[in-house]
Amino acid sequence: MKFKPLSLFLFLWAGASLAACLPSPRPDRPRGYLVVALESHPTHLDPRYATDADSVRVSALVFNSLLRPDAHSRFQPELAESWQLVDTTTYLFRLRKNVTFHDGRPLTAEDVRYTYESALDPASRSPWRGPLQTVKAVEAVGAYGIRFRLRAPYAAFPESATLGIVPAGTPAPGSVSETGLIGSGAFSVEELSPGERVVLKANPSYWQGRPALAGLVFRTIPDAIVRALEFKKGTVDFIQNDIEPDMLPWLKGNTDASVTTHQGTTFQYLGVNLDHPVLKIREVRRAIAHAIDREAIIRHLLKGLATRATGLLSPEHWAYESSVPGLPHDPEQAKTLLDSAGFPDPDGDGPLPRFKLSYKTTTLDLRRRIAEAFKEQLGRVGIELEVRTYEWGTFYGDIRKGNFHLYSLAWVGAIDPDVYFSLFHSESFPPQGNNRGRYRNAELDRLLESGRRRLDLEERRRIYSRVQKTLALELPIIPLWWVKNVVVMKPGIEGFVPYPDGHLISLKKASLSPGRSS
Amino acid sequence: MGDKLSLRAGVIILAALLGLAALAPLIAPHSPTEQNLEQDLLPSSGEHLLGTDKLGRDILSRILYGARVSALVGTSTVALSVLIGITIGSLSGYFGGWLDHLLMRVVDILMAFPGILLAIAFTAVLGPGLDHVILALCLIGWTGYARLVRAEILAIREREFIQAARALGGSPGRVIFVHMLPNLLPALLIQATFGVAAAIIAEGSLSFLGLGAEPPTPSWGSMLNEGRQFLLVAPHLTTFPGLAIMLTVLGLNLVGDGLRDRLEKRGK
Repeated sequence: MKFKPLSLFLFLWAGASLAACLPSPRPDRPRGYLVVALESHPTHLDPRYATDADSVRVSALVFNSLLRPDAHSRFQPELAESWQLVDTTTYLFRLRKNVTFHDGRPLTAEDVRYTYESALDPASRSPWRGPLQTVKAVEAVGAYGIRFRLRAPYAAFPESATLGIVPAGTPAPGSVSETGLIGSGAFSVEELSPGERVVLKANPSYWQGRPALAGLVFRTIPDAIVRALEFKKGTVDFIQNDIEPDMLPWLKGNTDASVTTHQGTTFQYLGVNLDHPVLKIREVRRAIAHAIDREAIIRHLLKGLATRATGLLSPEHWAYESSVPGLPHDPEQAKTLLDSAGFPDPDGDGPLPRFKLSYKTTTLDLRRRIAEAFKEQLGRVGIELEVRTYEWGTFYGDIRKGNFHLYSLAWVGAIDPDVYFSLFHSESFPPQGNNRGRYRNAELDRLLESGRRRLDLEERRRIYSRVQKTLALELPIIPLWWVKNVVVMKPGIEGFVPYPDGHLISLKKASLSPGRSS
Repeated sequence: MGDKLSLRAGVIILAALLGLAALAPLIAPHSPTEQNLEQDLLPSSGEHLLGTDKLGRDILSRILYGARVSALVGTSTVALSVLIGITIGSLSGYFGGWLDHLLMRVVDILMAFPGILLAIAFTAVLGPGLDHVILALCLIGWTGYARLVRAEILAIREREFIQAARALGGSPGRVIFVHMLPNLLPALLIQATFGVAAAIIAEGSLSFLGLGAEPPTPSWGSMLNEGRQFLLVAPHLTTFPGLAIMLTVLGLNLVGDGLRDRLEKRGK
């Protein structure tokens, strides 16, 4: 018989795959771990590169930052013991002295300096470079003091102090695997299976005290109905948001879930391309705003899990301007506005539209459904909407390139009103900022510039009140709603505090009661 | 005879479906795209025989109009594929030689791809839309017909009546179209029947993945997709379009089987 290398190879291969079928050494749910279902896999846990919401949320459990917003979006010291404004362009932070990294090294000013300098390095391509552009220098003052020198007064600077601190010398991701990431947070990284799960282990020597949970498993389950079924099966303990609103009564009736809803700050809006010959007319944008029946969409498609928005900042925000009028559903007024803008309906109630627009959105079920509702509602006032759905990467790429008429996106976690600068200043066109609609308004530019330079809260409140009134009149984006956060969890989970921006930071204080069945 | 019965049953199912599709505007109780957000996820009732979907649209009406989408995609995909298949296959079979080699290697390469995967890639690049779905399905669909036509032509090329036609000075085009193709029709017809069924399922799969019909076009595949999230709370959203696809494909397969039994027996 001839020797056949191929069959030997096949035999070995079969043996290897058999071995792969044997139970892995680490169980799905190690004892005392809490299993959290996420919709998308966190792309980067390194805080210098984490940008998507899930990455930011998981990263915050592994890393500490100088300041951290609390459940009311107020900045609280975390690694900082105290902080002060020395003069209008200098901030001085004093660090806690009892903080160590997961490998036992103490966290000092040198680590903070390294983290910021590596994020500022143009070669790092860190998304933090934009927000940190006002920082001129970061200096260590002794072992536990850190000084930031700014180019100009910058009121939103405390937001820059929320960057997670990595040990000095941590290379950029890509060069090494992220499993080796070391932070100073309540949990350390135990396992990282891309696209599958992230396992975090409690840090026994955490400076705020050991977390009550033995660890956390973040499982990536992209499909909403699979998440709900896994929850029913008991293989998932905790889901926040991204649940089909109609599934909530089912979850309440068929599982032992505790379902709670909380006011959130996530702002959903309709983006408009202001370079478009029709959409650059203000009356047209106003007509679109009046044609959309937010109330019906919120009541029926979102099952009440949102509230009608008047603008980016929600009523809980210190700078919220309450006198800004809402945009009630009024198709008649929408038609009048379109007539006066020079777009009469060619055949009244007939099939011919006044004009056609395209609307881009993602392929997520709820997004498609909302798109179809928009199409119907705009159709009633004579605007034909062509709905185009894309997977996220293509969609987001087109939006940043300005390749769209209308689209819808959400703004997650606005803390300082300086976010308006990134969204509407004429210097904030992508890739510098997020003014994707190419809005230009010299008067608003001036307001936004002074808003970030003034440090007095009352003065800023007045400035942003004017900003909000201008935007409500001009409608460079059309406000839709503020999304409520939904938390579905097994009974027996105690100590979890929902954050309006969906942060999961309070999981470090959560515990599983002993009587819990699993 | 069982064969006859299945052929008859298939023809009745298809005729009924085609009739419903053709008469959809007359018999549908509601507009397939008219929304009524207040009346979402209703179960079957007198007003909505098969209930309503999440946007309050009548499911029966959407299924009736969806039959038109399926019929359109099924027939145009197959028609286009057959046309390309006949052209390539007969050129290849009739002339043989290097042309045959070249064309058949192209067919081999295309057939090596999993069809649905290539269609997914194609629609992902071009963007969703029924026209793109039809093109994507033809991209692979024609190869089967080309193979079939070539094989049949090779089989009859040396038969006497073909030799006679050639000897009488018939041009290749005339020999192929007048003398050869009529002999291929039974085989093509059978293959095309199964092809329509396959195209309808493929359209359903692509629409299910969000790569087919754009909303609010009522396509059975996208109805399945839209209903999937409500599988536990409103199963009727997926049951009825699923049944519609099943019935149609069953009808086509019965007809295909029946035709094969009749035509191939006669041929022997």
